[in-house]
Amino acid sequence: MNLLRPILLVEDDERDIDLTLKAFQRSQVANAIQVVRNGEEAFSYLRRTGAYATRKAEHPVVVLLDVKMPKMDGLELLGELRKDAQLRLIPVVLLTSSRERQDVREGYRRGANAYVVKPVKFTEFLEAIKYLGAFWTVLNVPPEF
Amino acid sequence: MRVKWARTLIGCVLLTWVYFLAGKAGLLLATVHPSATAVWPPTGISLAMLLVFGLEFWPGILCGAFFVNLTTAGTVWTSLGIGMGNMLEALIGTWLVGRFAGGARMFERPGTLFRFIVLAACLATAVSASCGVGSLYLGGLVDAANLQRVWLTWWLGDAAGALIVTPFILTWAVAPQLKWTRKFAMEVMLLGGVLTLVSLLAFSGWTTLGRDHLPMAHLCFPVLLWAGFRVGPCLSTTAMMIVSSIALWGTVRGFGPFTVESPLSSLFLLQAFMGSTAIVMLMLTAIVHERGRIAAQLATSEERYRTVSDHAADGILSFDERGKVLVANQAAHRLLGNGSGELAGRNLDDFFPELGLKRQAPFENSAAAVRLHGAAMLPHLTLDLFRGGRQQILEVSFGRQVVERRHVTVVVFREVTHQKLMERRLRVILESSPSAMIMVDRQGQVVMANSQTERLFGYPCPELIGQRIEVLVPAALRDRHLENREDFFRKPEVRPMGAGRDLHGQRKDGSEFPVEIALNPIQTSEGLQVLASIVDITARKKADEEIRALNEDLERRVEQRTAELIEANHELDAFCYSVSHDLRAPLRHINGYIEALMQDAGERLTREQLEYLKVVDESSVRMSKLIDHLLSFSRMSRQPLQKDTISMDELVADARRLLRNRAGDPTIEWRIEPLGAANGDRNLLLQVWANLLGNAVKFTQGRTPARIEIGRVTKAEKNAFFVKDNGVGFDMKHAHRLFGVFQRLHHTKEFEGLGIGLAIVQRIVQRHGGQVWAEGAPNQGATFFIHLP
Repeated sequence: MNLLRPILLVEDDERDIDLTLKAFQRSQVANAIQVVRNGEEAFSYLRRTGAYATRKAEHPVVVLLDVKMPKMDGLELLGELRKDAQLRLIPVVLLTSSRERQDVREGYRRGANAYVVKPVKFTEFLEAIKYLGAFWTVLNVPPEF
Repeated sequence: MRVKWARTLIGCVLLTWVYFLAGKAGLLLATVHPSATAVWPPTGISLAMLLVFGLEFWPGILCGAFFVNLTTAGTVWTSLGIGMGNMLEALIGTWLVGRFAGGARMFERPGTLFRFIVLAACLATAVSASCGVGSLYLGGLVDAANLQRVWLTWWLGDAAGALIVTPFILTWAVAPQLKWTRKFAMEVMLLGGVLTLVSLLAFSGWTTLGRDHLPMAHLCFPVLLWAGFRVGPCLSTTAMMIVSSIALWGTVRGFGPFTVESPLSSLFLLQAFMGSTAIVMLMLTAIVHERGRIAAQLATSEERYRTVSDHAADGILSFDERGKVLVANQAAHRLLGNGSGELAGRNLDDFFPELGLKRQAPFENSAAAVRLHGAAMLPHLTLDLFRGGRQQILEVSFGRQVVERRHVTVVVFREVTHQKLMERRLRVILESSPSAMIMVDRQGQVVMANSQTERLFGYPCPELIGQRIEVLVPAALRDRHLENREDFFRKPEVRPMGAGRDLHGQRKDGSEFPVEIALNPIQTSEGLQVLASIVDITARKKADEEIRALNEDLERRVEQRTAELIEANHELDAFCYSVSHDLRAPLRHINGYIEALMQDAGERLTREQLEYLKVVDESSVRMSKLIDHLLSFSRMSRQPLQKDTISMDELVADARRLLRNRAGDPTIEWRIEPLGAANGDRNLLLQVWANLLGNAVKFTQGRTPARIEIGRVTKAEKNAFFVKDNGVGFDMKHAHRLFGVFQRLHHTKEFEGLGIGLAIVQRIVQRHGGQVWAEGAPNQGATFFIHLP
């Protein structure tokens, strides 16, 4: 079991990517953070196709998935992921700005393992990332692939 | 039965004796043959006896005749034959008279008397004569040469006996009807004296008249006529008996006008004369008697008519062609006389000019009827009179008769003032109705209609009267209407017609229009009738149609607006979604980078610069909270209600628990009354209580003791829950701003908050159909009320 498998961050907003990476950096998570900017790229990465054909054959320890994205949004991507026999067991955490009840319900309905609202206050965001990192990379036992 | 037999037996014996004695007397005068006489009273006696007492006494006759002849000249067989003949004569005569001539009272009418003469006096006596003469001939007691004379003598004796004796006995036995007064007795005595005197003059030998056989028998006629006209049947027949007896006595003694050489011829002539006289006399008596009877009947009838006429409630009077009143009854006097005395003899025009004007007109077309039937009845008229300042309405009917070539008009009238005035009032009421009013009788004929009917249906009223009501019903519905009408008369009650059905009327021009009809059964003097009130509802139908069209349009617009609202909601959802995601991201970025800046470059920045960054940081956080609350408020407004019965006590407990988790547990004095249950959405009402209690906790900060009361109260006739605190309160002039979104009465520095809590409370309560309001005063606390239906 390799708990140092990368964390896949699916996020389209560069500033969010930057801040998230900063947060991971400051929370001293050891795992590599792999960033993809949309659903297609995420599938390309996960299925090791295109630019990612040569990457090491391992699934990320967790996928942090933004909900609102252009082209394929996070919930759509999640749905497709759960239909894919190879990828369906990968833990997915929805990381989003929305507290809307229907978003939360729809996320879980499509098979999210967690739903985390990004706090506006950066210090609280840091805390959240810290806890997320600790949980999914240390405490949580992912399925073997 | 035994008594009857005894009576019959005694009667027969007596009759035998009477017959025997009378027969013996008669046979004393027998000349042509010892057994044949021209004077034979027994025939008259036997007929009278059987007519009065009954046919069962025939043995008396048989025996009487048998013994008379046996003791005179006959053998047993001839006597028996003669007896049989006499008995048959009486039986046949009695039976014929009883059957065809009115029995014992045959002398009262000319018709029955005539039949008696023919059947009894002429035919029945021929039986006796034939049997008697036949018996004598068979017994060898008479030779063939004398047969005719003997038969004729026999028959004449019997016939005279029947004509003279029978009426005499019957009139005395059946109907004496004598009213003896002094005057009458005097007249009878005078009559008797004169009659006796005249008879003796004519038939006795006291004067030369009788002795010289002068034909003076007719002297008796005036006296007999006197008797016939004046003294009644009994005394008339008695007079006839007296004349007959004196004439017989005189003739037998050889006096009087009928005495000829042969005694037989003398008696023969006498009996022929007496028989004829008796017939005339009896006829006269019968005629007089009948005239008297008819006169009495007429008098009775007239009396009866007068009684009826005088007791009739209707006035009856008759007048001639010149208007002269002939007869007027009491009611006529009462209705027309006006206390002015006897009407008969006065001219109708003098006191009844209105009728005078009318009295000829109704008969102008009735001349033919009078010619054909001798009388004409005409339809009645209604006359309006003003007599003595009073309106009087009479219903008058005329009849005309031709009496003795004079036209006599009979008028029957009654006062109908009250009924007619009521009818006229009813008509005024009907006319004043805006509806068409039609009265229909049980046969469906229109008996009354107001002018609205004329206007509505196009038929002039007079044309409609008498027509079937179905003419006003569209042709296709007439059969059904007929059934419905009969049903109504079977169960008459006030009700609208054709409940639940669209009704239509048909105008004279055939066009149809929608109507509404109310039916009222009315009991009238002419039987049950129905008053139908008919309203043209064309305008209403049109208005209904317009309303329906407007409603449809409204519904369409509501649907359109609803669709727009749904669209707007969808847009709002999209907007909220966008706000959730897109507005937060820049804030997060601002905050993230500011904090990163502060952390990374904080040491190099001045204190003032750091303060600027802090303000940006806090503003971004506050902006985030504003967005959160705005979204929450929007959610509350759109979220569907899930109503249920909820314990408000539990809700309040839950709300307090939430507050404790959020804000710790400040020292507050809670006073919570039992609240009971309410109907609503549990989550939303929990939000209400949480916001209200949160406010109360917030605005009582610093109060010692801080006190919050929760309870239930009736305000302005509404049940309301309330939350009362002793906090800072508010000025009532700002009360209208309390429930506005982001409206605050206190500065953020005094009391934290975004000004959305009460707006959410109001929105939730309003969505429940309830009401929320507040009372308060600065520094004296505030009370919030929630009314839920």
